[in-house]
Amino acid sequence: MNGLCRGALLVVAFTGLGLALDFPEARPNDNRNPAGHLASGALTLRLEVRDAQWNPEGRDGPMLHVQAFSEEGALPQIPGPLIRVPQGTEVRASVRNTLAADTVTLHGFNQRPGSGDHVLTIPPGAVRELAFRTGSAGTYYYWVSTAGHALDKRTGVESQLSGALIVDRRDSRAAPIASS
Amino acid sequence: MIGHWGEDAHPEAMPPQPELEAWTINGKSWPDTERLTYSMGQTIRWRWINASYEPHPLHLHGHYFMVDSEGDGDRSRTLAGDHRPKAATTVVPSGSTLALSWTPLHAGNWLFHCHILFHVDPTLRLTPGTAPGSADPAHADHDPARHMAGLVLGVHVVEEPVARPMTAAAQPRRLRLTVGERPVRFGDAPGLGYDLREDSSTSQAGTPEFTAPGPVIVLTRGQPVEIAVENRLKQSTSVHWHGIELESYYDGVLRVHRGSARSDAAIGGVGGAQDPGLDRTVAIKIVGFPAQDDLAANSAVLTNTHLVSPSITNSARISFFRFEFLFDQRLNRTSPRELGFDYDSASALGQGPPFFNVIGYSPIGGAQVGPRTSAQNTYEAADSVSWFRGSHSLKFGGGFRRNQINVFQATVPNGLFIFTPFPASDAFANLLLGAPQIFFLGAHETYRGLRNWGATLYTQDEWRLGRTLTVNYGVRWEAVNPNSEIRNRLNGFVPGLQSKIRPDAPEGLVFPGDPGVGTRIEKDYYKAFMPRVGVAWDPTGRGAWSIRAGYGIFYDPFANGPNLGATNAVSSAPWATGGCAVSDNVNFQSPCTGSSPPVPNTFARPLTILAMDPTARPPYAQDWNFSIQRSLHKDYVLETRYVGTKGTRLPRTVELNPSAYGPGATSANADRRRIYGDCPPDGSPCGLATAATLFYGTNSAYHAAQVSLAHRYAVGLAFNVSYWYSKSIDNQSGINLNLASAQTLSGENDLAQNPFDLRSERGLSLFDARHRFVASGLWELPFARTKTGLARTLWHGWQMNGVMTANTGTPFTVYDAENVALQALSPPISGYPASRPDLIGDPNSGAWTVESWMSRTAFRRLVAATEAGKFGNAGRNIARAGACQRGSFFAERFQVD
Repeated sequence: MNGLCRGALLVVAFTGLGLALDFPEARPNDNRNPAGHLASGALTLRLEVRDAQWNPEGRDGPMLHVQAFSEEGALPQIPGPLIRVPQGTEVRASVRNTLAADTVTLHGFNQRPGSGDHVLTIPPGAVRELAFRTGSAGTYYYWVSTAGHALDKRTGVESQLSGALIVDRRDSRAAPIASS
Repeated sequence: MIGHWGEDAHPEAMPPQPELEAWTINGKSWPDTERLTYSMGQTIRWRWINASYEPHPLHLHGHYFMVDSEGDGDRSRTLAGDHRPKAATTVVPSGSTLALSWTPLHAGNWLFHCHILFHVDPTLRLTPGTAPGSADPAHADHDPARHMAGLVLGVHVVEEPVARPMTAAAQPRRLRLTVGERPVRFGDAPGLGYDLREDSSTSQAGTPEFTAPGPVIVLTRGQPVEIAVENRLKQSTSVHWHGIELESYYDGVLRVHRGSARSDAAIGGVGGAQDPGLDRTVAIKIVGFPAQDDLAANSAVLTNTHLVSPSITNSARISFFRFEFLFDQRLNRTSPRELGFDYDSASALGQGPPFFNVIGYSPIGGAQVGPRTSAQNTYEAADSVSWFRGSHSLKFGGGFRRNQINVFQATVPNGLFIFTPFPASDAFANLLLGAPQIFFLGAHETYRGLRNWGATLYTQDEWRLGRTLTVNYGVRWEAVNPNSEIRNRLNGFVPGLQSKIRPDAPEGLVFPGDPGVGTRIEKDYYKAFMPRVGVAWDPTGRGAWSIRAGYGIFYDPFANGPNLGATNAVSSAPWATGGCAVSDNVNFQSPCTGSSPPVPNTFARPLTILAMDPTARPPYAQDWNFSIQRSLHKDYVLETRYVGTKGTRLPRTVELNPSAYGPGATSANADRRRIYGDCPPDGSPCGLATAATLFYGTNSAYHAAQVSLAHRYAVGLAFNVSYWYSKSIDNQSGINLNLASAQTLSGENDLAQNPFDLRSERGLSLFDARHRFVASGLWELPFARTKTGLARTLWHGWQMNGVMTANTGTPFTVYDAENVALQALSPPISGYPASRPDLIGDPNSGAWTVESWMSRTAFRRLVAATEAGKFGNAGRNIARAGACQRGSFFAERFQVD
């Protein structure tokens, strides 16, 4: 069946009726496993923004073309990889924009409490490295627009570029049972 | 994390809702969201992030949760101790975060969902074919996978022994809340209201006084309360208890069915029906002699859906349905004897004044037919299991149904006088003179207790073979059983067989228990296997094309329920005999004097019957279809479709005791020439007159091709244009539901012209329409979208609607009033012969004018003198009426806010 699908996609591409969605398939992220490598009070993380296909209604549903976060060398995830660290951890991240034409505007990679104007712009093909120390414990998130939109104006292809950033209190015990 | 994906890049544009959208929790939309399983007593902590563009009121079923922290992405505020709100619903705005905790205290399946309807609406699903209505309706009922979408999480709480705080064993306080009608609230129209009373052990605790808004329910914290909810409305209602978490699958909404008197809110159950609460309509049949029609429907349904495992759901349903129907109840109870006539009413229940039919004038007197009472109880139990296993969506289940139908009917219980223009030349003058020409007093009352049961088993699989191909296949089995009668008062007809149950019956009339005749006359049928298969193929995998094909077999029940033969007086020989019929010079005061009415429980000679066929098997249909659908551009869908149906063993009424033609035949001796008439040579009355029989032996065929173009609603415009080419052939287009009365069925005489040749009845269906064109559209007026001021008040929400239909005229049959064939009449089927002329030309080559529509020269009347006993060769439904166009165009205001 995979061969058949691929054949059908090739035919479509050949006749010029549409673009082949030959991007990797984003896997749903249940936000149970934190991303990156945590050692000696620092989290090292390599992220990418890339094209992906996504089926929010399961394998029966249609494949949508979206942009998604992935850890370098891994499949894209929706929502983006979970960043979960104890209070005071330093996050050292690189973010690669693998998109062909869109500029990535990254929000949320900053110390909390913070302000929403802390943004980083990454041109197509570029890599940016950044580091920040997490502040107060709490539930936060990071996100990207590839069209210069505010969070609540994103739709379509850029709408899934969001990931959780959880800062645990120093005295907190083992990770809670579930998180969403 | 809550996400949203929308096709439209500008959500603020018109229309505000994007065409396609997906609401997701952690990248998945219900029913693909994660299923969470917890144990009772465990502490659950959730963090929520709203990365979508809209706020979401998040709602947990069955439990309260504590809000531990709130944030806006930049800050997170931790709430501690008493500052933590306790809630069942809390709003998380766009870009905000939330941490909450809760402890499951009740085992079972619970939902956590956004309380905005549009965010859980199954019609917003991206996947075509899974919106309600497109699924197999018989199996989609109560399927949570198809009736929700988007922001819904399923939570399964398993029971584990945990120490729970015991509630004080105090006696619960009992309240009764009644929903009822307040008459004359809005002009003449009624309003609704609540009545509240302490202790509700009896429902007769005084007359309720309904108020709106309802009375305040003042409760003491911690004290258990049981509230019985009673619905006295004519329709079902639902009572939503805010702030009280009912242990109910229905989100704290207690469904209260009409007439279901007791429903205990504390346990969320639905009780049985107590209050018949009849819908009363008074039907004035004749001024001064009103009759009354009542009807009442009660139902109670208990459903339970249980998530056995994340992939297996069990749904159980028990229901009771009662339908009561009282037709033509007499309000004027004056008996014939009180009015000075020398006879009594044939029915105690139906007692009233006689009916006087004055030819050429309005009739007077009590209603002619009835009263008729029918009460039906249906008990049903069903269970289904859904099992999602890899690419398979399996469903299997079964059910059992029991029907009880009790019918009472009186036919002309108070007598019928007919006044004709004889002896005086005016019927009204004869009424004044007291000189009726015809009198008829009906047989005594007919009671029927019909019983029937049915059972169903089915299995079905929806198999997704990759992204482009879905195969749906299954088989359904049903026990198709005819009705039995509690006193075995059913008639069958087997030519030549002498009944052993009633040796005095005319030959051919058989009863339950006779050799080869079951207790239901017709036999139970256990071979109704109904396979079905459907294929949906999306060749490109992008939804632009959809190719579908399907085939299935569907059985119908036996047609002998209420309204049909089994409840008719003529199908109840010899128990419904009686009454008298007199003609010519009727004695007005003592009309029955001198006549010898049939004695009850004996067989009249000649006897007229309507019988069932002991060899009958139930009818079935084979349906098949093939369609190709193509999405064009963005909003257009083009579809071509072929649909075919073949009906087999369809029922029709047949005269099984027709007249044989031979030398000396005249219309006067037609009844004595009946082939099973048993007519003594001395001229005394024959044994059997008409033997109408429900015969399951005709076929039908229907083929239709359709092309349609639809424009999905977008930018204020939607339309659908379709064209059908179809042909429908059958033997009879319907069964007369009022057997034993002289009438046609939508213009068709349902008696076969020649009882010896049913094949010649095969022809176009009465509803055949060769060409059919339908166009409909909706246009939202652009200037009506204004959003401000007076213009908005005046214009907002107006839209134009139109529909236009044009189709080929319906076919009709040309009959000849003259009974050249010299057949006897068949009153239980039709009041007159169905003789047809000969066809000698094209009937549809006429002038097509009002004066001369079809070609009269295409027909030749049979000549009685030379062609007696012959039937015309013109077929059924060979002439066609004029094409028909209908259209309507209207403006309508649609307002949400």
